[in-house]
Amino acid sequence: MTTMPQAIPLAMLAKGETASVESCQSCECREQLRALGIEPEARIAVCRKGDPFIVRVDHPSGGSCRIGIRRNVSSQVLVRPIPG
Amino acid sequence: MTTTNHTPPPVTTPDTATRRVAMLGNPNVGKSTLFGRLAGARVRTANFPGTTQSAEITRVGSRELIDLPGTYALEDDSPEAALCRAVLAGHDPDRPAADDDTPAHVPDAVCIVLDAANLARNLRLAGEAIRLGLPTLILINRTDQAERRGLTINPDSLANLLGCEALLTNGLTGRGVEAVLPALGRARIPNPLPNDQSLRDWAEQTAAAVTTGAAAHNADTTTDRLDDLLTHPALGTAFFAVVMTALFYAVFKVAAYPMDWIDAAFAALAEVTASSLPPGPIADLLANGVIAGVGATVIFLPQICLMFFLITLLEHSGYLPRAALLVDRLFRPFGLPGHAFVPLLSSHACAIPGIIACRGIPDRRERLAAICIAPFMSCTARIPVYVLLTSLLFADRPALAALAFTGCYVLGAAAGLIVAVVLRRTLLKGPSSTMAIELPAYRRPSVRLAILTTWDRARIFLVKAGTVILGMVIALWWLGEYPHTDPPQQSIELREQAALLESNMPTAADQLLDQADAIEARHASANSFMGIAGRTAAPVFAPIGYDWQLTIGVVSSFAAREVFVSTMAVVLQQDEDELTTDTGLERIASAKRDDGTTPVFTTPTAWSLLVFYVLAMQCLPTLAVTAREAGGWRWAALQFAVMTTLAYAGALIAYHAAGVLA
Repeated sequence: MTTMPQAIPLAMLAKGETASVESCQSCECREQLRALGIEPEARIAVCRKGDPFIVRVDHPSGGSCRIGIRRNVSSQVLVRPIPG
Repeated sequence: MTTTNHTPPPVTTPDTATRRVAMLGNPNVGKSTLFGRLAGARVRTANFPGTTQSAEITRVGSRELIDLPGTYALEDDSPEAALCRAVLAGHDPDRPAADDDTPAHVPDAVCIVLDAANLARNLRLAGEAIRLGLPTLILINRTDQAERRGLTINPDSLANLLGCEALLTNGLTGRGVEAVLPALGRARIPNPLPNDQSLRDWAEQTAAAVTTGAAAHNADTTTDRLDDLLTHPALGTAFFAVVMTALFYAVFKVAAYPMDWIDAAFAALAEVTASSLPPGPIADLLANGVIAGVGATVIFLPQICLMFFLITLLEHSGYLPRAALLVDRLFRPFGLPGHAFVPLLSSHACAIPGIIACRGIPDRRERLAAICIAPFMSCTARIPVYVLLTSLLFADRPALAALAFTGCYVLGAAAGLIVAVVLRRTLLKGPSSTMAIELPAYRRPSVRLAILTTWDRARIFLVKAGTVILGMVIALWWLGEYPHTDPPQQSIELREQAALLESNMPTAADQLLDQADAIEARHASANSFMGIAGRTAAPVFAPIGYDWQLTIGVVSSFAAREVFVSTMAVVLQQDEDELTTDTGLERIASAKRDDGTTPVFTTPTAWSLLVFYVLAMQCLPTLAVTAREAGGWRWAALQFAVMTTLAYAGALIAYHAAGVLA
């Protein structure tokens, strides 16, 4: 039986790593993030670490977009890393 | 990729009345570019750089096309979404807030623009719009970006799934655009959305069904590298500084050439007019009132055009959102978000589009703070005054003049940021919002689109110069010329002396006549309607070093500050005893006060004026836009009070400091 990876802050991912968003509950800007596609179950990849923090939101159908966020937001978004 | 488009059987609609078509889409999908393609140069309202923040309307044939602001959703609490909802419900785009009027005209069709490279997220908005049950046409735009990622979108499949026509378009190359207008006539109501599915799942499933080539998501290394560089705290900031320097350099240096041509053309026109008409009030009005006054304003057209052209290019290259992200860090201490960058940058061209662009700032308090300080940014209307005063202060030292000129921009921006801090700690106290912004793909900007935007701005400016400013110039000329008064005793005596000397000492006689002319001109000017008004208001401005002539210039500037130079050109003209072909600058620099020796523009006075014009709120249209955008005249009143008080205090300090140092 495989165990689900632990949910960690987005900021802890390495550049190039992908993850599934777990929750944005603690973000003040979660409405803004949701509009941009960063919401539970969304698949994201880290493009740039630091401030600003840049992620790519990947849709299963092949579309994607890049979102730039502040460093403090990257530590408020919880994600589960996708191994691979 | 297939270019044949699925055509469902057309719904017959009477094509008699005007058909209103609303264009809807996410931000950054190239909707405005498509709109520009469809509308050509016929855009009725201005297309301001920094994304469409208000609805734009144009008429194409029997159709009224409305370009709605980019929005991520219809049902959220952003101002863009509210405007989109109002227009789709049939309200007039110019007055969406009026709740009491009955929805006049529900759009006959909705044209939904989707980004092929991000179809799933874009389809959510489309889903919301489809629920409204309006005849719909789908445009799948930016297919080149999708193809670069190996994605192919099949419009026929999408049309089948949605039950309305879907076309592939490319706003930049124009591909597929010619099919849009005919297809709008065939727009039909799409199939209803399934009830048992969330919008998100429906969008994801629909996108998957019409997309082929969805492979593993690969890192876009070029974009990653560019983003790394351009948002880097040190390198990115350095690059940002270079871009901004280049932008302002181009606006001031490159534009200098066409400005010289315009100056020369107006001077030649004035000369021809003056010499071809019999001397008298008509020749005087045309040469020194109309031509000098309008010329003093139109000369700034090249700078305004270049500013808008370059900002539009930057906007379309994809750089501005990166710059906003970078600036976010710099703006934080002042209580402003990075979203305020584009509005404040646009404000350097004109505060009105800048204030409208503040709609892109999500947080209310931050938005209000940005609106309040936008007019502190030195707009192109201040350039005439800056040029005049810095060239008076540093006549033969262009390097120092340029430095003082740059200083004006720095002073304006610094004052704005300080006021922002104060506002955010008092009236607009509240936490700083966090920033999240979409970073669109880098692309080669469309020169064609930038030219269209620039043309729009140029037209608005020229209309203003040809109406408001022309009217003011004529009014000021008349107020300065009438009522005619009898010559003063002093000049009569001088003329009598000259008559006695005429035969023996003609040179001395001429000098006396010149003196008499100057005294009469000043006397006439001082006793004109304008002179009386200037003298009445002069005590208010005396502490900061302005005489009654400058007071006229300053007071008339409260309607629109660019009239200062043309006003001074008209007011000070009356010191000359004949129609001159001097450039306005020489005439203004040599003008004297009532004592006949002190220049109107002493060094302390010029510094005082410079500071006053940097900080003062002298633009009625801006106040009107502030009241509308901030939601009340009290914000406009606050803006006016703060800016004018600061301007007066700053001018007072500058006047006395320059007096001590001189």
